[in-house]
Amino acid sequence: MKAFLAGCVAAVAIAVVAALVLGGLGMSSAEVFQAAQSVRL
Amino acid sequence: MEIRMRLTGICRGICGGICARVLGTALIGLAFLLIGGIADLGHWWTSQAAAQSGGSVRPPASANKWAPSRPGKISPQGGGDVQKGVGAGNLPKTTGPQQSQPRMWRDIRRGIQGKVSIPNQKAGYLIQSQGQMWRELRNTKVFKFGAWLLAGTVAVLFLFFIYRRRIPIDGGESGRTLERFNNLERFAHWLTATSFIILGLTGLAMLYGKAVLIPLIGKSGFASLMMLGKMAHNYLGFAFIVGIVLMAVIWLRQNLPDKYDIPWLLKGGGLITKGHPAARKFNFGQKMIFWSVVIIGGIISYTGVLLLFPESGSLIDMQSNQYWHAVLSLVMIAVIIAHIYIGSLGMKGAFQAMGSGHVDENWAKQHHSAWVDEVAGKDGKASAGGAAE
Repeated sequence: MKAFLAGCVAAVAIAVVAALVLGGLGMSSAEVFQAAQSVRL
Repeated sequence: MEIRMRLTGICRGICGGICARVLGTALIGLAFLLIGGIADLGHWWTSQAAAQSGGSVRPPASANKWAPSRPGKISPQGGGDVQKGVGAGNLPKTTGPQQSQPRMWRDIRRGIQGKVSIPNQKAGYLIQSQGQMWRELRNTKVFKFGAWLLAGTVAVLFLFFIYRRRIPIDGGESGRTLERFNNLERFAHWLTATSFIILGLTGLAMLYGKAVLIPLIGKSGFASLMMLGKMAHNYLGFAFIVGIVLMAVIWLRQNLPDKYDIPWLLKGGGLITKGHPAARKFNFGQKMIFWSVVIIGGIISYTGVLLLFPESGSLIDMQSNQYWHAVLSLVMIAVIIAHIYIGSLGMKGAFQAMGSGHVDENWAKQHHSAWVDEVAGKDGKASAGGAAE
């Protein structure tokens, strides 16, 4: 049970870290389909 | 009593025969679907090569049914035939009959790239004909393949359950337990499992949501759900990657082939016939699941990460990645459904291995007798060593 809970918590933690890192690099999920390269200068 | 036993045997034989035939037919059907899909993929790549060499590229005849509806219809061959009616008022009135430009449209169909004033040069492609073929492939072949594969897997497991029922522990529980998986092993398993379940459900919602969920929860409900679903899918993918890397490191050595694999396979793992073949910590079936997760999961992870960054490859690369990501994910979902079944409902005593980490000694002797001998040998040596000290 503890291993299961630890697995769930770790999955969420890794997902949050990934979101923060990709968001910080300007590659967040919301941005990938409207990538900065497509924005008119 | 004897008649009853004989009748039970006959019934089991009939059920077994039906199961085997259904399974065989389902596997053959799925193989044809997969081969059909791969053949279409081959046609898709060929058309790409043809486009680059100046050959003809045409979208599939049924591709138009997936195209979004437009307020005004402009026919390239007809030279700007604007359909009057809803929405047509917004179009310039100068789009009347013009001279046909088949050469220009043929070049556009072949993927000629125009000039654009924005950094994203891919926007210079007016029409990517292979994209229509890819969409046709995804929305028909992959769609049907996945539906048949998942429904077939559930149906075969249901028939197997009717035939075999829950596999019991021979001789009942002994009351003595052995540690099968330690905390780290169970952590790696549950990290991978929980992330994969969310990834699988959100992925299925992406493929089948329009057909299944929109009629149930409406378009706005589906849009809200998929906003969250896409976020979860994109980011939980990294947890899945960490999980399979961890499992590969922990269990790689124990999942290499050994002398017990062939006899286990020949006896059907004791699932179809009576008698349980010997196995070490992982039997041949579990090894197949391990390698499926590592290899197929690895390819799914690789293509998934590439799909997160659409600027990293050409359009056709992204379409190819998406195709393999979807097909292999469907295969893996089917494998994991079978794994969940045999690890919970299908076999008494199996869930404890990943639940508490400890299994009953009789269960272990029944399914992993060679492993029990190894553990007993180690304990014996440890005891002997301890006694010597």
